[in-house]
Amino acid sequence: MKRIHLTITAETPLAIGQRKPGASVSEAMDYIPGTVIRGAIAAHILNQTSDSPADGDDFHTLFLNDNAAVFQNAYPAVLKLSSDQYDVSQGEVKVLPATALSSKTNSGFQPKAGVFDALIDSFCAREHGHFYEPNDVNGDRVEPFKGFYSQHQGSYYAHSVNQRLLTRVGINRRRATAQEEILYSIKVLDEFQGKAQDGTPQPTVYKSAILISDDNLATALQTFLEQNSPHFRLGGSTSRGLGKVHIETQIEDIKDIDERSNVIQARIDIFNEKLNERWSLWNVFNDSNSTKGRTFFTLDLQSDAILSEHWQRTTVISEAMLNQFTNIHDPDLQLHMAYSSYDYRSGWNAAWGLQKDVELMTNMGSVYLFSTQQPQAWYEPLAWLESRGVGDRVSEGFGQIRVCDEFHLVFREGAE
Amino acid sequence: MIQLASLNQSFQPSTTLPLTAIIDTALCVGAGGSSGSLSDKPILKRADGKLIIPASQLKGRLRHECEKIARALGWAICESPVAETMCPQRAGLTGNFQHEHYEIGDRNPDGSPRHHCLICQLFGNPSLPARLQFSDLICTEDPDNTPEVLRPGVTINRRRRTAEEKKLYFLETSPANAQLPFTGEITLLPGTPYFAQALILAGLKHIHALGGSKSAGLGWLQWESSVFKHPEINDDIWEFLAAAPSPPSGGEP
Repeated sequence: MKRIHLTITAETPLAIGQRKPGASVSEAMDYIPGTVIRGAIAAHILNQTSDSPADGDDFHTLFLNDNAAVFQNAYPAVLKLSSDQYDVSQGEVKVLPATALSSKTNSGFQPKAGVFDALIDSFCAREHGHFYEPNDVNGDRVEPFKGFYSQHQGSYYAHSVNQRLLTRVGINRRRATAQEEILYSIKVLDEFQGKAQDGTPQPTVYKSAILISDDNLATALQTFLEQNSPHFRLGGSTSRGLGKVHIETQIEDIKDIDERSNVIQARIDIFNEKLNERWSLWNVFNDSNSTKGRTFFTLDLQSDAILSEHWQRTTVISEAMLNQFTNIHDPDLQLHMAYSSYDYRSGWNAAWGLQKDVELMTNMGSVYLFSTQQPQAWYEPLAWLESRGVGDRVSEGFGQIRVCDEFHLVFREGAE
Repeated sequence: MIQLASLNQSFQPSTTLPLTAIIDTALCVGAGGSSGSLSDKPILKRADGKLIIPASQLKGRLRHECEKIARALGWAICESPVAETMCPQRAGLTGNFQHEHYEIGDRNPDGSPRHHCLICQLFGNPSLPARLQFSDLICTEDPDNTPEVLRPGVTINRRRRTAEEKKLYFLETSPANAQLPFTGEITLLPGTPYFAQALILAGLKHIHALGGSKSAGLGWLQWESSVFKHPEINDDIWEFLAAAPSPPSGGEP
């Protein structure tokens, strides 16, 4: 199995629009969804040939198979080190969990008030029978802090992109004046994020990846992407100059399942170690041992997910659903906490020439805390789930998860 | 059957027409909805401060010129920019529209061939993606050398021959007579009809000014591009464009 890392540099503004049902305003998303990248690559392949896709060919394997390639979302990767210093994150860009909190009045990573995670504390408080209303170490009120983040030289940085509004008008050919009802505004993502000290503008850079199980096909796709890199356009209004990007690729082998399950086990061990430490602190209120013999782990949604249970949409990954996703039977599996919210998403399918159905989806950053008494059975299935995803349309980047995100270990006293 | 390895071997780079517009006068491309300027009509800039002529304006203007040329040659052309009067709606009408030259090689769900006028085949419409990709024309001059120029204007009352009340306005323009070069390109995607380059070059020759207040002397330009010097367009293409199908008697043109 191979992973093609994509570094996408915007050369013109990107119009990544989303229109919610019933709304008349087209908003811009602050990242490039995997489904947009997938659609652009598929359209480009079809434009290059007069052949039609057939069963078993590369197009079918990449886009149409049950085990099709996974096109992950592209998240902004520009770090703002200071007012005139920028860099591109070398590490992984991740989504902050829904349990991340920061000061209401001075929110942000250090040197601002700092960001911390409340999952473990809120779980301990609830299990000890206490009401948990967090504040920061200065006593200020806190509220959820959402977005993308990465670590750079030991410090945490939030990632975001600037947006602006472009206004355009159609011209009536007879009167040579503005055409009625063709005045419109497009919200776009800026192609530059500011100027460095020497005056050079910092281009907006996004990072994404494509996961492919067929090694030869991965190499062929990388060659195709490199050859056609100057001609890719992402988002809307592409023939009118928007969405021009430059794509750099880097291919790597994905570790085998044993190695990946070892990584998952190490993460789960550290998570449980910290949870037990915290649990012992909360035990000053009343001595409780309800965590004894149980191993806890979290699922953190790194992208929006489309989840359904009993043919109905849901925003919670239940024990039965997780058993089904991993194809194992664990009657001891228990869901303790779920932090999730929902939104609606539609889109345009160029192949159909029609709008996609409106889907109810669970927002990225959602957190689910599970525990089990048989952790050994879970390491490998969770490693597989982390590389594949949960729910529907995983090949379009939906349902990407991370097991036991390290940010859960950032507590209130050590807010980053 | 689509195999990426064979696609990679037969890779042919897309045709790109480089373009440079030298602005002879001052340029005034208004940025609708902008704020932070003293003028009533601020000039459009990129996020890094460079002046631009947006691709949407170049595309719209070139489409208009190509429509004029094709119509003058006798081709039936739909009426942009309103979707209701463009090709997909015209397809069922009588006239010389459903002609073999207008077939795009694709078929409707009922099996009948799809027809789009010559212009829509290049520039697209709500049901057909464009085969041409335009880029913004970006001023290559450093933004520090293109300071904000405010040009005041006032309307004259025709009876009193004095300034009309509430008609004093300020336009933001590029520096006048600075011969600022704006560069960009037009990319012809694979599958672009073979007459595209001829029509584009002919259309560009008809564009003498861009932006606002053209009749007041702003935005006048001349094109510089290697494709104008050696266009390498076959005579067959010119003959094809000149041989528009004649409309049937009684049908709409």
